[in-house]
Amino acid sequence: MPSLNTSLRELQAILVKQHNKLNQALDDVTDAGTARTIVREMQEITHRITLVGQLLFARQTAALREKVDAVKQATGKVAKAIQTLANVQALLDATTDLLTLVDDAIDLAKTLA
Amino acid sequence: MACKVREHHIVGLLAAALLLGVACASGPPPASLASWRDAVIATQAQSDVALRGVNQLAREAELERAAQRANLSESDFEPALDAESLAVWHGTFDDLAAYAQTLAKLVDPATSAGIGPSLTKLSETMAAQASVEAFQRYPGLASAIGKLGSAIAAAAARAEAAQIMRETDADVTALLDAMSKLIGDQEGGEEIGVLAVVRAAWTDRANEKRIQFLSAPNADAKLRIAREYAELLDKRSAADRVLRDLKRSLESLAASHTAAAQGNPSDLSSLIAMLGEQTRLAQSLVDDLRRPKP
Repeated sequence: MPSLNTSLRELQAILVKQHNKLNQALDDVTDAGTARTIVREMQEITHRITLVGQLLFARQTAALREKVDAVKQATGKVAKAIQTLANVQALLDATTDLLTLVDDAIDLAKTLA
Repeated sequence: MACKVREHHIVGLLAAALLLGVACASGPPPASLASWRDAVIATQAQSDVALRGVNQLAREAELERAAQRANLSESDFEPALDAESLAVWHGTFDDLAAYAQTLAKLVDPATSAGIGPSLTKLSETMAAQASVEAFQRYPGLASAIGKLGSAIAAAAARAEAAQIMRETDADVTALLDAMSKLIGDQEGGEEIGVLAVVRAAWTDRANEKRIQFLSAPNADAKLRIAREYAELLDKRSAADRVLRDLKRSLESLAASHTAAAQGNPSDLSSLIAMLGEQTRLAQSLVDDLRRPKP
């Protein structure tokens, strides 16, 4: 049994084909009344092409949500890598501060010795 | 003597390591990722205008259909693309833009630049008390260590970016391909999707002129109507092109992500310039739809 997406795709294709056929049929029409009838029929088909299109768009955009999760996870990984760089810099700065403090303490100890 | 030899070794090794660090910096160059981010943002702008135009056109078509009906109902005025789906579409672009922005930030030299001065400062602090002869003999040694640190950090950042892009490439490509197929796809030999909606609506608009033409009283009236018909066909072509361009942009984004992930970044500057032009074309079509019909 075809999925709803497949059925909607096929349905829209059928409507598009019918719309095209009527449009071609207009080429041979020379009477305004007949042309009007065909064009009104085409408008009805267009309305349904739009409705099916809306359903298709809604279902397929909902499926985008699942696909975009991998992108979100990758963004998290990249952000973590940026944080790692910041942590390395913070570690270096903290080590420098620690060494400066230790050096001051050693200098002070030397004067007291 | 042995000490001097070691000092020379230290300096030589640092210089070699610096060169090696820069030479081994694999992964996408910063400019290419910034360019990919700009292309994502430009495609998002292009799609905003193009999809707004689709809803505007569908509304016009619904009004024309409603004018022929005996009564009105809510179901006569459904949007072609509903608000919730559009929010998901825009949200997907936001997530892609955030991904691109974060990648660009990771490989931006400014992100890892802070490591160099920190390492220089640490080296100087260590040298001040450790009385290492090499630091006294070569005053620039601490600075060289800092530069090496920066170069290694930048190379590591680019390698990490490349690794993440390789891991994510199949998903990014599948996502952009799905978005492209939403705009237009083939089914049973017919074009379906948003493109089909737009084509049918413009064809109906143009066909009103074909009806008028059949009851035109003279050649002058026929000429005027024929001209209006031709203009509407041109607009249909322009609207069609806007959506096909959007499809192409999505496909280009996927291809350039794959290329960058494989270490072959493509130049996107022409695509970004073209996107700006296409967005203006799409906007002019939307503006045109808002103007009252002659």
